[in-house]
Amino acid sequence: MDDHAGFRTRARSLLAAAGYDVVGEAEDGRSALVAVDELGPDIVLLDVQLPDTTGFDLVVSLRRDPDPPAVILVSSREASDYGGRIISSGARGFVSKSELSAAALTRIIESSP
Amino acid sequence: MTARSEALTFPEARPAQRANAALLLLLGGIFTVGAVLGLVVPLAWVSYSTPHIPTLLATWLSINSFEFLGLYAYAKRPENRVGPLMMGVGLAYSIQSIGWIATDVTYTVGTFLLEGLWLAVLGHLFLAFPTGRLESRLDRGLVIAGYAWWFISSSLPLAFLDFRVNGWAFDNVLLVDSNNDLADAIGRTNTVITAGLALVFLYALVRHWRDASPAGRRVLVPVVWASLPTAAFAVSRIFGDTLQMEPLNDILDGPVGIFATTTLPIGFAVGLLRSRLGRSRVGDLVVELGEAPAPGRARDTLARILRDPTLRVAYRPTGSTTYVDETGRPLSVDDDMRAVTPIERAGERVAALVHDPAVLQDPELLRTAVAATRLAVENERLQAEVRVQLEEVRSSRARIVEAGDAERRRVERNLHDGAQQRLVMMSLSLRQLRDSLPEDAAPSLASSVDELLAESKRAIDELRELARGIHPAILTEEGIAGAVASLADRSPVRVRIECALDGRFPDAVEATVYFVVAECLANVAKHASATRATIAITASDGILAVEVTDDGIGGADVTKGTGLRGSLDRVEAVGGRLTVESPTGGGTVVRAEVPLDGR
Repeated sequence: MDDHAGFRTRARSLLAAAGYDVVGEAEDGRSALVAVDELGPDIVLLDVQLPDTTGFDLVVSLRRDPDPPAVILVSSREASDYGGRIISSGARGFVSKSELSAAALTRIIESSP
Repeated sequence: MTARSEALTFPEARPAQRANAALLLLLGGIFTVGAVLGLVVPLAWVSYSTPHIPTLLATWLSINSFEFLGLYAYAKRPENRVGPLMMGVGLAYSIQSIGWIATDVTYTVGTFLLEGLWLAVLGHLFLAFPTGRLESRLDRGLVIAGYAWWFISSSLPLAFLDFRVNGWAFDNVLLVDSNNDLADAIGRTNTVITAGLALVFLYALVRHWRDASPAGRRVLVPVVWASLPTAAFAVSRIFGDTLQMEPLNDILDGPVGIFATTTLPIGFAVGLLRSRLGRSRVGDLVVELGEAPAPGRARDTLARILRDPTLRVAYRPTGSTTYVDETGRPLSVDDDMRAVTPIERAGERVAALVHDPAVLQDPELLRTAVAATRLAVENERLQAEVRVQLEEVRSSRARIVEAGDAERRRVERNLHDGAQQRLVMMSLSLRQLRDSLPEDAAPSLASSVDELLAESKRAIDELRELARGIHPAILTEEGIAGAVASLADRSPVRVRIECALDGRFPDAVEATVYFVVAECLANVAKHASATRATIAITASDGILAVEVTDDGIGGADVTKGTGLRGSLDRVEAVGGRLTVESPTGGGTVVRAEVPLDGR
């Protein structure tokens, strides 16, 4: 989920091309929670900067679900710009938007349980 | 309602008022006349009575004590009318002695017409003490009534009192019509009116006491005590005369009476001297002030002189319409319970005293105190003015830094949301393009796309580095601890961080400490030839302190180059301190302390 439609489109085609099944998109925190509830995805690609909340806070909300999805934070900033917040948020991992690729996602998903 | 008194003006320098020589001579003459006249009484008395030398001398002293002490008071306080008034009492009393001169005119005038004049002057003295001026309308009215009543009550019965009918040896030179019954009736009526006037007079005295300031009462106390024997004497005399108690009259005529009547002038003289001592205290306290008094000393001195510990001095900086205290903080002079005495110089208001309204009871002391502390008050006003300006400069400097920070944050965000996003999109599209290239595409095409991808990654990295230098996102996101850790991560020199901070600090404080650390680590990497550095950050007592230590070659100088100098300016702009210890060959320690409230 990302408030930037252009990014969502590119991410969708990039992931679809790599064989991922993209079940839904959302543009802000509120609709993201609804969409996750309805669609029950395995992986959520979540922008750190959202119009109504931050990705960090949304991870906490999403993890309240009994069977939470694996959340991967994305941002056009680097991981080092957020210090320890990425790890403490409970997200599975972080990918810089410029580095986003199916291979990068697969690496994160496979590297942790 | 706020009591507002007349504005006091810093007086121009002028010589202290001296006793006027001509007036002193005139008063001395009056004293001599009074003293000579005073001697006529005992001399005439001696002529038909057995002389008793100690009593004789005491009587003369009693009559002349008002004049003698009045002369002394005038010599000491020439600007004050109490001295001349005291002499007036003595003279008015002594002049009755001409009644003993054996002629019709002197007998009529001395014994009857002038009888009681001294009481009117004494009343005037009481009401004018201690300033010599009649301050209220009641006082002025009473004094005029006293003199008028003396003249009416002594001359009216005299117009009808025929001395010869009573068998006396002289003629009444003021006799209009011989009617002694009418004269007696007028005399009895006069006594009632005199008693009424005396009650109003007593009321006026009680009012004086009630309205007096603590300093004013100190001056009144001797007069009050001295009045008691005299009042007791006067009451006993009325009883003795009315009831014809001869043993009592004998006692009153003796040393007891003389003592009782002599205490009063002593009381006035002591009271006046006390108020003079109050003023000489002014001198002592002003000397204590010294040449370069600490802030607030002018206030302390004025408070002690005026015996008002709650006194405040409000200074008005040039061109301002509001007041500040000695430290330059705004001070309101609008207080319903306080009196305000403005101080002016050359028509311009420079300060105001905010004080207990009772201080106004001694306007002379107030004027003296203001005049004596003029230099100190002027000095503190200038100091307060400088402090106000300093505070304005300091806060505008802090505002400029904060505005700069806000602008940096805005530019960083714009770069991130704009150019950086576009580059990221572009790089994603390129990656997609490369992934979707057909297997049989020309190898040159694939390598071109790869090159473009690498180039866009470099552009993103450079832009990111540029944005970080403008204002690091992690400082906004994570605060000072995370931002410093990120700086340490990127430093080529090994950096240890000692940091136990809780929560966030004001933006300006975090940004200041961040840029100091960034500058120090840049210096460590570029100039220090150090192998390691330590960053210690602590927050306590409202101060965020950071210390960056390295084991390099030292020799850093805050006055050289723009880097450390810029850090110093920045730290000082938010009210902090920055020190650099950098002995040659002994490493460098930069310590910055930034107050959390920006002061």
